[in-house]
Amino acid sequence: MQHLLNTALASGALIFTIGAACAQDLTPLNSDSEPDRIDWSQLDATFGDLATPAQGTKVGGVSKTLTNEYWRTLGEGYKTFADAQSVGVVYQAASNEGDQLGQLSIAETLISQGFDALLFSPQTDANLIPALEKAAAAGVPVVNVNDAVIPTARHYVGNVQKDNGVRVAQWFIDNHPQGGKVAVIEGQAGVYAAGQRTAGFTQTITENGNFDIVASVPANWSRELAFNAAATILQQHPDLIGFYANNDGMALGVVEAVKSAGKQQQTAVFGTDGISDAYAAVRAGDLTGTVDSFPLLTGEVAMEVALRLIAGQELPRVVATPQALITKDTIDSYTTTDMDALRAVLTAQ
Amino acid sequence: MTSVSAARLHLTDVTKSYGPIQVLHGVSLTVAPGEVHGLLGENGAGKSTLLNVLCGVVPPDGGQITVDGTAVTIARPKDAAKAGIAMIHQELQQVPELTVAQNIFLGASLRRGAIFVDRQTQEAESRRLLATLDPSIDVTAPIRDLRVAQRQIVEIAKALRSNARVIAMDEPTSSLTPKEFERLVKVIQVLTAQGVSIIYVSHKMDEVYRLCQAATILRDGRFVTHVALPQTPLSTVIEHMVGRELAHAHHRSFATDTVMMQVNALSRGTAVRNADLTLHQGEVLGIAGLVGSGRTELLRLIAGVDRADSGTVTVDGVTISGANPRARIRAGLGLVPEERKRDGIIRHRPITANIGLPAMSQFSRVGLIRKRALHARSQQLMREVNLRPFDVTRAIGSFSGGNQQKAIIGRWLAAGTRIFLFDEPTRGIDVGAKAEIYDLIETLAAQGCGVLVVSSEMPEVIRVSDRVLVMREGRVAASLNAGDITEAAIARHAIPAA
Amino acid sequence: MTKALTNIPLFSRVRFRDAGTLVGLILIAIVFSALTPSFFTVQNIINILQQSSISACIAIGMTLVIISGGIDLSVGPVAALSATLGAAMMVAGVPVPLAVLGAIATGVACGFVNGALITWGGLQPFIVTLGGLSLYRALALIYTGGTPIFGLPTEFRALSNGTVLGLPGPVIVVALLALIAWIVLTKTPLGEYLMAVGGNPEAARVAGVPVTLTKLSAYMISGGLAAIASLILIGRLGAAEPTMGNLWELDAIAASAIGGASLMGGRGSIVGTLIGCVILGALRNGLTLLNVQAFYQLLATGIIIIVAMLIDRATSGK
Repeated sequence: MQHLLNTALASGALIFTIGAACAQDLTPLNSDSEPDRIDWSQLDATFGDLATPAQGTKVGGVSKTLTNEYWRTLGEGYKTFADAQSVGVVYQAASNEGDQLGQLSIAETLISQGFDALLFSPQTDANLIPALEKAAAAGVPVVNVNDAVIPTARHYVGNVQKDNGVRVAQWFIDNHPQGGKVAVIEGQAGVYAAGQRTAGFTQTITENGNFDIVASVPANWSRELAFNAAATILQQHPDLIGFYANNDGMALGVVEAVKSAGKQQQTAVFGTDGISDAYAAVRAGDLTGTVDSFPLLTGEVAMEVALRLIAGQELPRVVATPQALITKDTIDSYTTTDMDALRAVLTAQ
Repeated sequence: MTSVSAARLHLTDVTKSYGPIQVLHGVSLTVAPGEVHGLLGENGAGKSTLLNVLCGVVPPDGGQITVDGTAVTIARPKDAAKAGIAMIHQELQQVPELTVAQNIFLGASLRRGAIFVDRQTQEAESRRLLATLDPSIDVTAPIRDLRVAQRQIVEIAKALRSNARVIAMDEPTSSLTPKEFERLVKVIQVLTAQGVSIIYVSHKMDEVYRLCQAATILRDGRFVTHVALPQTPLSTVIEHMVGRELAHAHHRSFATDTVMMQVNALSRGTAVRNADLTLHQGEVLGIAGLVGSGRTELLRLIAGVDRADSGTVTVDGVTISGANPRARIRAGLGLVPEERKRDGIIRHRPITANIGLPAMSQFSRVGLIRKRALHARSQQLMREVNLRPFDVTRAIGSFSGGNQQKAIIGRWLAAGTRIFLFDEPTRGIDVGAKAEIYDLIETLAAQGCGVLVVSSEMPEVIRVSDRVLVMREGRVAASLNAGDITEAAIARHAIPAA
Repeated sequence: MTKALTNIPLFSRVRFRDAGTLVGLILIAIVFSALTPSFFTVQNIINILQQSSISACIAIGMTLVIISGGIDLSVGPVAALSATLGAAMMVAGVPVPLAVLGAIATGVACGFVNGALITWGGLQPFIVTLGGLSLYRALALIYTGGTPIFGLPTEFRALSNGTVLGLPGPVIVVALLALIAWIVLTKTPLGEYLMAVGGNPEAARVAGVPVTLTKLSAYMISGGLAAIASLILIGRLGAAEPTMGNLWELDAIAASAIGGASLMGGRGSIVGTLIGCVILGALRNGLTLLNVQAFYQLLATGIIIIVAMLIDRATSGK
């Protein structure tokens, strides 16, 4: 299964899309490897300061679901940036992460309302394609914001998914030079972010040669499934030195399993996303670390990109957003509500 | 007639309407202490509503109720229980998984401390209550292991437990065997000896005459009269019930010598063993026997509803190969089942749809149902059988049992059925409609159809049959010809030798 | 009195119920039209119809199954399996009509398996299709390895994305299917059999209704319609995902119930179900236009379903 997945993710999607019916001149997007890209910190330097948007500009956002803190915070980022520019925002989401058609309905309904730009965070790689096409036909710029990637998207704002895994792998290489057994708790099978995060971790740590990935199992973003999987893995491999989970919710489930096995000292646990619970757990010493992708800041950058597109600027296809490994040692420098200070820290890293 | 002051239960001028429809128009009822009082009337006469008023299920719109001279208000079932009125429903309201004792104390369990149910005392008390009624009932057995008759007695014990002084019984014998009925008669005698009054609702006139000292007759929601029994003749009682004189019909035979159907050595487990029978054109063949003697089972095997272990059914000299209802229907057979609600009608569908079911191909062209043709044919058939109310588009479930039965018969007439298999054709059907069903059976025979009639009611078997087969323990024990059909003869063959 | 009564068309009760559902839809439309000017526009109404078409396609099949006294929880995964197989065939170069037939055949086959287990196997519909819910999803995931299949031929996608007289292709396809289903249910022996089998299976058998075949047909139609719904969707998306169809069964059951289908079997209406789908679609659309959060949309859906059931109870209880 693991092998199948990786192969499929690395090449399968690409091969399948070669004959893409849409006959667009765009190559199917791979947000991690797209060459036409720019880092978020270079936007001002390359394209100058953002011009003041026209009166009455409004931008619509459609995200996965508001039951997840990540998407709520992303929306706050949209709003903070838009408010500063006196731009109107509507932010909508489906009722749960599985509701693909519901999200499509919401997106289509928004298109008919005359927004100047739209920010889409699709449930899957495919479910918002009709809305994207409809918006294109209506001449409304669409930005695909994290983390599912629409192959035909013209603009993408998000972090380098693979880099999440790479950063965690790097921590293990730095802190356990002698190597050891590690395990991966994956997100939903078939989701781009999950596959890339896992691939980044797996490839980096395998290249080092000292580590042994004893298990890599999907827990479908569920804390409970992650807890069960981790408990089983720990039972099987009592000498495990670390877990990497594709998101924080699952990582927190793993933390509980590690605690109940009494292996806090031996087994490191990493998550991804940097939700507030994860921050608290890092402070408490339960969670070893998380790779924060700064949803608030990502939201701001996405809104900035949308406004630049409305202003007619030609931007690279992918705008990469910041991320950083948060551990007990580094947590203080990232815990700030002052966005300018945070921007400075991230630019400097 | 009992004087009001001495009455156990006295109802005056009870009215009840459902929306615009008034179902009780000032009904009165007086029951003396220790009396078995019949409540008689055709279906729809208001008996059920009156019982529901009595036991608090339906609050009345007006009227007075007194129990032992004290005026009571019954708005909820609790009030009825407090007033000493209990009801034995036709469909017993028990929890099958609980024991006899638990059911007797259902909703009023004895406690030890505040929390724990006092099982021992409950069981001892249940045993005491059942001692006079039926000591063979094990109070620790779950209700589901009991026969219907025993469950009924448990329900009566429950009524006694709550100190009921009036027990209303709604069709208590509808699923009892004659032997079980005798047991019930004894129970009722025990109850009345203790001064408990019984309100007895039944379609079976022989039972009413045997048990009741008086009866109140209702018609169309109105009080008709109060009669003393058994001195009032049956014809008078029936006249009061139906509001007209019933022609007293005698049996007419249309039987011929032409063999229509032959059943050879039909068997299924121990229920039906090696049953043979021959049915002639225009013949009405009655099948009598005790409940459990295999009559219904035999009919279901012939109709292909159940699968036979062995044996054949031959119609017009051709043995039918398929053992499913469809094959038998094609061969001209049609079953009018005993359990109409369970095996007969599609409740929510109109009369037309219920009639058309077996003959859909006949009523359709290029795959579409010819609704007009179906409608016309249904109307024609239902006019012949005098469907009331005459509206074939109404859901069959909204009709009375007798009219449902007419529609089921109409179904087979429409399908061109020539051999009718009737199982308890008048079960749950009121007196007026009964006569109509008998006439219908006679008409079928006159038209050259063959008719099998299974019935537990001896007068019915004798009334309709040209010939009677008596079943005993799964076998055909005897065949009685015209002159020999008497209750005594049937009983002699039906009852197993000791 | 008999003359007047007999002139009333058959099945008047069901039609009465449909009128009630329609009144509900009209009320919802009036409320939204009053609250936002963008609701009652031609474009938005077409939008609603298009968004409701896929769930309607599923719900039609569900209604037939529910009328037959069963339930089909496996529609979403059946759709996913049919879609991925159909898409794989198209990508592999199989002619579009053949691939479409292949996908529909897959759905019908899944329905046959469900029906066979229920009729010949004697298992409960809820449990069988609950098993199917996992089984068919697993097959779709295993077959695709979890990844979407992209690259569907343009001529196939044209069907879903084209319009006829301003109406989107899916709306027309589903309207045609609904018309056929309506005819089957109200005008053919099969429809009468479905009602009979759902209303009282034993009585239907005694009356000579081919009970097994009737139930089998219901599940096979449901599977086939799930496949068609999935084809419409992948035509719109341009990709077939093994995860598609999540929770479709619940939307379909909700629409059927709003439309008057009884989960006890024996009662239901295609017209009612269609209106039920549009009610759910209009609700979602209107609340989005009003920028109401998704959680409240869920709340509104729940309230609508329960209110519909309460009205049902009040009017049929007499």
